[in-house]
Amino acid sequence: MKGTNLGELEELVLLSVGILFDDAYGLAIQKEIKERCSRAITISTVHAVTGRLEEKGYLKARYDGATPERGGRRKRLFTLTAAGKSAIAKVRDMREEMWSAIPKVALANG
Amino acid sequence: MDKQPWILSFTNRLLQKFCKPSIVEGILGDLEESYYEQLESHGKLKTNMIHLIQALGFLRPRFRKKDEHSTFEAMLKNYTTSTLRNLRKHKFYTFINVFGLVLGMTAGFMILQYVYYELNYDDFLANKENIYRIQTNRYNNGELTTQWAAGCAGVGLHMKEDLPEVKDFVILHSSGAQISYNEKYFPLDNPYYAGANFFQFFSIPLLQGVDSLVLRDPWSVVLSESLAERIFGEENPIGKRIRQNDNTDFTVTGVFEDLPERSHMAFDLLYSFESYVLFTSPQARTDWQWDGFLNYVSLYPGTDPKEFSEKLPDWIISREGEALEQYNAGMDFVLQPLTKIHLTSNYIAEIKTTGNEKTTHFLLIIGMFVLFIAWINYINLTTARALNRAKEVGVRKVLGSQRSQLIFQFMFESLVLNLLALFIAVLLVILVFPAFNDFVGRTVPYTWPDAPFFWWGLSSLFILGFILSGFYPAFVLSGFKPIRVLKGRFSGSVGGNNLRRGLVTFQFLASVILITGTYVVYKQMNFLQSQDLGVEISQKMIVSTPVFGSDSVSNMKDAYFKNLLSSSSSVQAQTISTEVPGRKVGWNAGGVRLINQTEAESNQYRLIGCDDQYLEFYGIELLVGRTFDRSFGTEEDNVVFTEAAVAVMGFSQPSEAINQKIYIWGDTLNVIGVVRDFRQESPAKAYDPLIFRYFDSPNGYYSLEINTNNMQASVADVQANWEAAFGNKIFDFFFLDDHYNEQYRSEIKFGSIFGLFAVLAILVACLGLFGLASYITNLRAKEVGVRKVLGASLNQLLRLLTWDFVKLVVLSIAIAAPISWWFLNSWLQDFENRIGVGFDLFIIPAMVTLCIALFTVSWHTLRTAKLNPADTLHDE
Repeated sequence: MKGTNLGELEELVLLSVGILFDDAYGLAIQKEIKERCSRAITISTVHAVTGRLEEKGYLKARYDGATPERGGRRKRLFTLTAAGKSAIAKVRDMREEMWSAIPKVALANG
Repeated sequence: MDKQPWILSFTNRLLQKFCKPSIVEGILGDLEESYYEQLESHGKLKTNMIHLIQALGFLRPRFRKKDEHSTFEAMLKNYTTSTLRNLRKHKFYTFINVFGLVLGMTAGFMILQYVYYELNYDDFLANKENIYRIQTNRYNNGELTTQWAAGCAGVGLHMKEDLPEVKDFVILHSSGAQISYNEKYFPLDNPYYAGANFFQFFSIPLLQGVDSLVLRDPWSVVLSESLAERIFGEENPIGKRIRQNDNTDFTVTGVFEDLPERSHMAFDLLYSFESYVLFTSPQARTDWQWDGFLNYVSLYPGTDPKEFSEKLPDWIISREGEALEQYNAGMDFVLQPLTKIHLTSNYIAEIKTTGNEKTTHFLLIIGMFVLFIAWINYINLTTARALNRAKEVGVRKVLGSQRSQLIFQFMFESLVLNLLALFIAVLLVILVFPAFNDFVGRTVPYTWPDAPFFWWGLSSLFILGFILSGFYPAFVLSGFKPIRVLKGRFSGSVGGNNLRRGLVTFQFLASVILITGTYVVYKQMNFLQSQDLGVEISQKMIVSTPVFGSDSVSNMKDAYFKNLLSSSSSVQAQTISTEVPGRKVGWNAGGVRLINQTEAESNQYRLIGCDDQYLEFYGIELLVGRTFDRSFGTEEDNVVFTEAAVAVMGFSQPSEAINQKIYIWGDTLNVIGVVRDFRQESPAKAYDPLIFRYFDSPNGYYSLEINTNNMQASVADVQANWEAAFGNKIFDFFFLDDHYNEQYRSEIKFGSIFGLFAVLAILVACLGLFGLASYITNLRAKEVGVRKVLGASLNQLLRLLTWDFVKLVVLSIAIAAPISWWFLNSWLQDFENRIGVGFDLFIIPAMVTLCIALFTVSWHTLRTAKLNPADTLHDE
């Protein structure tokens, strides 16, 4: 694992977990990303990314919320850890800082 | 909720086995939830596909169960290592094995797809299993004289009236007419008149119009989509009027989707059959002595076509018996199943050129040969090298391997090799596919490799090959007794030697047959092309005439055009006729007889209408009498016979026919001359009895001998004259020699495909022999060393080493001879004019095979025989 840098997809997944708050599980995250970013990713990709984020300590998981359409299986629900929250905050701060560093001229009538 | 869908239980079980238990519940839940969501918006099939892709996505290392005790994994790892080591260590064998398999798979697949394409004609037609075409055969004096694809007019209608098994029928008749719209002429490929129920009968969908109405009324016409687009562009064609032959207007009532390439039918325009009835007479619906009508019937499901056919002869007698008896004629009908027409039918007035069943089967056999040769290579090489692996097997067994595990290991190896070959073969197929299609002259209507056939074809070849080639070696190799092999008392002959010899013999057997086949095809083609045709076909330009009416305007235009041409410097000679050489003669005249003969003595002839220049123009030799000559006055009542026609009429000498009065189509005509037989159609066919009859301006062809110094200028000049005489009528021309040779195209193509695969087969067989020779001579290196020390000469050693292989090749040549004799005989049957089957047909291919084999083997034998015995013996 190279450092704790966030990949783009990892960032999207973290943000989605934040948005979904109490109902963030694999399929919901996939749909969230599809709706908001029109990016189609497979369910296995979502699970792979959440797995990676768990290893990095940004997410923690628990089992809850079984429904009949899941064949009575529980959802693996994710919540952001403190480290996770600060990781996306850091990304946002960094972006904003960089945005504000762009001279106005560069953005005018490009 | 119902029972769980099978795909869910499948993926559940798969992932349960594979995934870490800590996460598997979440994964399965997500997949199932998504499955039911997809099901709401997609069909079942698509949902299953999406689900499968989603589920298979979990098969990655990240989600895998970590099982420290999995011996299976360790075993696979070990097998992979030893397989790769083995492949790397023996690069030469690996190469021969893989290369052979690749060639086999590629060639086999190419042929399979060719054959698959040929075998699946008319598959798109609904209700195809109950539809039959009625093919008509006519007999004279008990002899079969004419076989029509488009037979007598009334058969379909009367079958429906008389026979309860017949559900419905449809009638079609070819139209030679030209069409124009707004004074602009459009060339047609295949215009037909079709019965009112045509579209219902075949369930061919219409893009515009109602299937039961479009062809109901006279003067209505239905166009193919592409023709409608060509004529009307963006405009809506419905209700527009197109003109036929400058004199009759037809209203467009419908548009149909272009028929697929893979059909025995090809129409771009269909007029209502009612119009044809009005043009001619109501007998076009009912006549039994008027031929040229395609009749299709559909039988009620459950009808046995065989039983039905058996009823027909009696039915024919009851319907037409009297009339037939009067002419001493006979007729019968053959039911042609719709999907079989393309491959089994080649009679007068087919809609388009049909395929050849025999050729297709031959090709299938060739493809299988190449494949089997490649698989045999694999078996041979793998078992021959058993010695190398014997110690490994011994050690594995001592360490506790069971036989089943060893079988698994060797199967695994052959799986790896076959997979590797498959991978390369797929690339190769994709690469050479366009070229191959070009080569066989076919446009495949779908984009490869999207078609399902591509995938299941290749994968079934792969699976079959893997099983056939993998099992035997695996059983042999795993069967060694550890005590014997480890003690070193293991000899080169493992009992499999006889089998190996048998397999090599089979390989060469197949090769010899293929070489013989190639040689025969080549020789027959050469023979045909070197035949004296009896007719001059070079440097002739043929222009289709416009459709002439029987009015004086047509005659004047024709005369004007001929006049223009005769004063043009680019045309040296010209003639007009209903047919030109290289075409099946379309006019069939039955009931032709001498005026003093009875109707029962009449016969069938083919009739060509032509002007007074024709026979001279084509260099057809006059035997007795004279040819047409306008200076004798009217020639309309005179005919010229060919020798074959004279013989059919019953004269033994051509001169006896001169000045005989004969009766044709209600006219009494005088025979003025007899010409030598010539090859009207391909020289492969027997001479047809031909009669030439004089016509001033028949519909058909202008034949022009043009100035070839500047071909383009000559053609342009002819076209300019055409436009001066006929305005914007379609100017359609071809060169006769190209056209004539078109007749052999399919045979020549067959020959080249045959040759190509024969070369491939021999190449693969030689690869195998090369590998085997290298191995066996290596085994005998010590023996050779000892013999050398004891004084054997190089020659003796060579003979010793080579003899083993030569024996096999000679044996296979001996077995091949009768088999190839049978094959080539059955192929040559199709040619009425053919080469004799002589000894050279067997000896030359045999010598070629023997030379190739000797050459292949001698590389190794020579090397082994030359080895210094000190090197081979020093480790004893």
